Parts: sequence; structure tokens; C-alpha cells
Amino acid sequence: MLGQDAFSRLKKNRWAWNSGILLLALLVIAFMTPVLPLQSPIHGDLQDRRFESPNFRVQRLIQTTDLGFPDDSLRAAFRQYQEQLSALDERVAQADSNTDREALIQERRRMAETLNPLNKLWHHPSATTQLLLRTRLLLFGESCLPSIFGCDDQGRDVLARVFWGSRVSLTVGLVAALVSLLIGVTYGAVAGFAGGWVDSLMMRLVDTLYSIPFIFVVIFLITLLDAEEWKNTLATWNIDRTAIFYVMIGAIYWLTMARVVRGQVLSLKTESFVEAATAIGFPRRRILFLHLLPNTMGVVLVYLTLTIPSVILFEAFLSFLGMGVSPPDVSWGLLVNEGLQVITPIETKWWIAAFPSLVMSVTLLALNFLGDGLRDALDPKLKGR
Amino acid sequence: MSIVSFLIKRSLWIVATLWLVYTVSFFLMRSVPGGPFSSERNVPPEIERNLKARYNLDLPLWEQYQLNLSEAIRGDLGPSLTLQDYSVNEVIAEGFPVSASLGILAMTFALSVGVTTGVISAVRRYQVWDRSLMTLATLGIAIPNFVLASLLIMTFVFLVPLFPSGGWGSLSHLVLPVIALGSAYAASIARLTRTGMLEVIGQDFITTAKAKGLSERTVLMRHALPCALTPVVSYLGPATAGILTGSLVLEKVFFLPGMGSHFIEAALQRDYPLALGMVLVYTLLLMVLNLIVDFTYAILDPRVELQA
Repeated sequence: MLGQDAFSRLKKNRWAWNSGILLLALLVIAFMTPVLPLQSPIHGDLQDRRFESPNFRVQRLIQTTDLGFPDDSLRAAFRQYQEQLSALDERVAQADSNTDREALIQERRRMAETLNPLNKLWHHPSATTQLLLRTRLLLFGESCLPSIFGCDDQGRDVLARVFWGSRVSLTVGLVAALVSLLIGVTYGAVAGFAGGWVDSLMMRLVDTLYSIPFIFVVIFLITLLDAEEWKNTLATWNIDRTAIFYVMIGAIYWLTMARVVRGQVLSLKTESFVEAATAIGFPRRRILFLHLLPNTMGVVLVYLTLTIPSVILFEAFLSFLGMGVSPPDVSWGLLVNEGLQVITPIETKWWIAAFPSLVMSVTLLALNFLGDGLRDALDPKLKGR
Repeated sequence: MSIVSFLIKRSLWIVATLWLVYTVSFFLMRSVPGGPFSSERNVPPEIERNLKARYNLDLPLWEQYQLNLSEAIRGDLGPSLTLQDYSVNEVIAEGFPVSASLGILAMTFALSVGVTTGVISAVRRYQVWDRSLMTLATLGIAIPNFVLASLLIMTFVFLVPLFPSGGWGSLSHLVLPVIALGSAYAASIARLTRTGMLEVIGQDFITTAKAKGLSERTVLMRHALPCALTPVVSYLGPATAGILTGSLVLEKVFFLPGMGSHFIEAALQRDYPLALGMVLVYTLLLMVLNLIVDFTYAILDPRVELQA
């Protein structure tokens, strides 16, 4: 993907290289968030810890008594949950008829969902996340890091929310950028390779799409898809809002990628290695996907690193306007919005907006540095543009 | 391509795009079950039928589309579903001046600050000024406008009370939104100006101008700058689009009663006619502004051919 000389040029660019390392670390941390000894991102102490300013007091995972956990301990709650489930399992085993068994199995599934103590502290953790959360409980028990970023209006720990938000924001950035990559590269490659009227038609479409203010259209579409009736239809197909989100964002960021790849394919098409492959008699599709596309990957990589920050920004933008990730899920944009809403002249609760803003800005800055560095490394002539 | 045929072709594209956006949005809108009269309160079926007949909602979808489209072409975008006594046209007419002043001021701010910074950086290249200004520019590009807005509010409204925190009325209400909106584009323009200047400064005609004994200032401002600005002009298209989008957020943050805040409200409240009207206005605005930018570009740089 990156030639050796380009790689060493990138390594020499201290800012870009360090940004790359920082981003890698961020990715690992975001993935490992459930293992870290953080407080719950959705359950807070509404009574005593609202707007608590940053401090270093060690916290417990369970802070209030309203969760209904026996002895207010997650471990005891788990034991109770396991007992309830195994009692049901026994009844399933002893069921007389098949219909009885079916009904019991249904009930067990429902119970597993509603009674799971993890669901009260974390919003619908996936199977992998649950596994990671259990690891955390094994490693750190129920002690948590202090609220060094303070607490928000519902007494929730901002540090934990920033970490959990990073998972959503980074996933959106990566997945949507990959969607745009897939569409853009295929489209651009086909247009460039086909040439002639196919090319001009395809590129004319891209030009037209460029002139539509997509953000407005997307906001409009999200409103429509949010209507109850659509939601139910989509739910039956197992498509949720987040999935639509990924596809929609990805689908509007492919235009530049398509243009870039087309240009590359156009110029590579006349190289002698393509001629050689044609002379050997390779089919055109094979030449395009196995010979031409790998040669465009450098440029594609550069545009991918530059697309990710704009996608993250777009997600933040939508969440900020209340049209992106819906609570109790968190993302950076949502957190900044929450922070902005509680800024009042009487008492500045600066920490609620400041820390998510800081983390998001640093990430975006690092992505921009890395993208610029990659571009300079691949094409030193462009340096400084 | 002559100017006339360029204008005609581009106008046709604009009309076609608007029609496409309208049509797609119309059918998507109607695919959401439940019309404006079926939610919220319970109306007896007879009355609902009358209401629907009054607003032509009982006709087949295709005829409704034709009716609404011909109304839209005549410039009537229908009534708003959430704002009492307001038609979509009236909402747009009220919001437009606010949004336009915000956008124009932000663009002016971005251009003046950006070009000045870029020229200073280029003249003092690789010195402390250049490095710090360019780091600042990278920072400006990366920081989201609403984060910058919150920083500005915390500093200049609460810490040092210089400006009002939001609202509309005097010029001081616009200072913070304009800075928050324009900064990112000022940063990009600064980087483009700097590279453009550096490229131009090395060329023969600049050496000639210097050899003639012209002052440093005249060489830079009269000879180098106009050539260096061509990449900036071509960046104005995307910048306008960005400023239009950014105004959505900043109008919300600073409580400006512009089109952007109405659009967000319409989208959140499912006021479909209003939202659709706004999408159309923004599309038209963006395309016309892009047309003007392309036009200016061709006039500034005679080598550029007009392409529709």
C-alpha cells in the first residue's frame, strides 16, 4: 500500500507519525473501554452527585439503592440472576409438552434480557461487550476511577461517557468511511476503466450530486425514517437507526473518492503493465481489480484518512442537532451538546462541555495531521498544500 | 463556450436538480403513513374527509404531485404544519435576512482574515510567525464550529462579558457567531493563500517586477497576490456550502431566528412542507452561489474555460 520510501518519509514527519500512534492507541482504548474500571455511563446518582465538579474521590460502581440489586452489589445481583435463569432452565427440562417448552424458552429469553444486571448499568451491551464487562468485574471488582472529568446534570460520570462515546464516534467514522470507500472506489474505477460515454455519464452524475447540499437532504431523510411507522417496518428487517446512519453518511462521502480513483485509473490504464496483461489475455475485470486497483491504494488511503474526520464531524454535527445517536447511547457530539445546554451565566459547569470537546478536537487534529502527512509522503511535490 | 450558452446550460441543470430533489422528497414524504390530520387529535371521519378534500389529500398520489408541483413552480410552498398562521414562504422570507447576514459576514471574515494571514505567512516563511500561524490554521480546521462556539461563549460572554450570548437585533449579536462560523474557512483560505504566494513568488515576472525597482509592497500586493488567489477562488464553492451547513448549528447555538434554526425545528417536529421548502431554498442558494463562483473564476483567470 505504502511504498518503503513513502513509509520512511512518513516516519520522518514527526507530527504525522505521532498522530498515527495516538490514533492507534485511541482505537485500542475505545475497544477496551468495557474492561477499564470506569463508572457506569448511563446510571448516575441523581441525588448527591449532580454537576459534581472534577475530583479525585474513588467511586463504587453502584451508587444508589434504586437499582434493586440485593445488598447493592453487582456480584450478588449476578448470583440472583443466574439462579433465576437456572430455575427456568430446570422448568424447561421438565416441561411436559412441546408447546409448554416453547413458551418457557420464550420466557427465558425475555427474562435474560430484562433481568440482566448488566443492562441496568450499560445500555444494551452486545455479546462481546458483555464478555469484556465481565472481565472488568473479575479484574477490578466494583471499584471505579474517580470522576476526574466531573459529573453531568444527571450525576453521571463524564469520564465514562467520553470513553463510551468514543466507541460510537470512532465506529461511525470507520464504518461510514469504509462504506464510502467501497462505493467510491468501485464507481471511480469502473468509470475510469470503461472510458468514453460511460465515463462522461457517470462523472456527470457525480457533478450533479456534488451540487446538492446533502446534509439538508440527509436531515430530511432522517426525519422521515424516524416516523414510528417506518421505524417498525425497518425493525422487522432488523435495520436500526445506527445502521441507516452508517450507510447514509457513507453514501454521501463517496463522491471525492470516486473522482480521485477515476483519475488514477485513467492515468494507470495506459501504463505498459496493463498492456502486457491485456496481451497475455487476462479478462478486463481481472485487470481492473487485480492490476489497476492495488496501484491506486496509496491515494485511496490518503483520502480515507481525510474522510474519517469529516465523517466523525458530521456525526457530531447531527448528534449535536439531536438527530444522530439517540440517548441513552452516547457520542461525542451528543456530549458536547449536553455540555452546551447547561452553560449558564450563574454557574459555568465548564467540565461537561470542555472534556468531550477536547478529546474530539485532539482526535480530529490527529486525523488531519496523519492525512496531510500521508499525502506528503506519497507525493512530496504536494507538500504544504 | 460563450457566456450565454454557459448561463443557459447551468440554469437548466439547476432546474433539473431542483425538480429531482422535489420529486424524490415528495414521494418519500408521502410514503410515511399517516397524513397531517391523522395524528394528534381525533377528528370524526366525516370531518377528516372534508379536510382532506379541502387540501386535495383525497386525490390519487400522482395528481397530488402534479398539483403541488405546479404550485411550487408558481412559488407557493404551502402552509406550515407547526407554525400557526405561517406559510412556508413567510417563514423563509423572515429567516432569510438573518441567515444571509450571518453567511455574508462570515465569508467576509474568512476571506479577510484568511488572505491576510496567508500573505504574512508566505512573506515570513519558515519563521516563527509562519509556523505559529500555520499550526493555528491546522487547529482551526480541526476544531468543530460548535466546540469553538462554546469556547467563545464561555470566554466572551461569561468570563469577560463583552457580547450577548444569543439573540438577534444588533451587530454585536453577530460577532461571536460570525467568528465561530468563519474561522475554519479562514484557516483553509490562509493555507491556500500561503501556498499560492510561495509558488508565485518564485516566478520570473516577480523577479522582473523587483528588478524594475518596485517596492516590496507593490510587488506583493499588485503582482503576486492576484495570481496567488486563484486557488482561493476555486475553494469558495465548497466554502459556501460549508458556511450554509455550519449556519444550521450556529443559529441554534446562538438562538438566531434564521432559516437554519427553522429548518432544524421543522425536521424535529416533522413539519414536512416546511422542511422540504427549506431543502429547496438551500439547494437553489448553493447552486446559484456556485454558478457565481465559477463565473468569477473564469473572469479572474482567462485560461479557465467555462464549462457547464
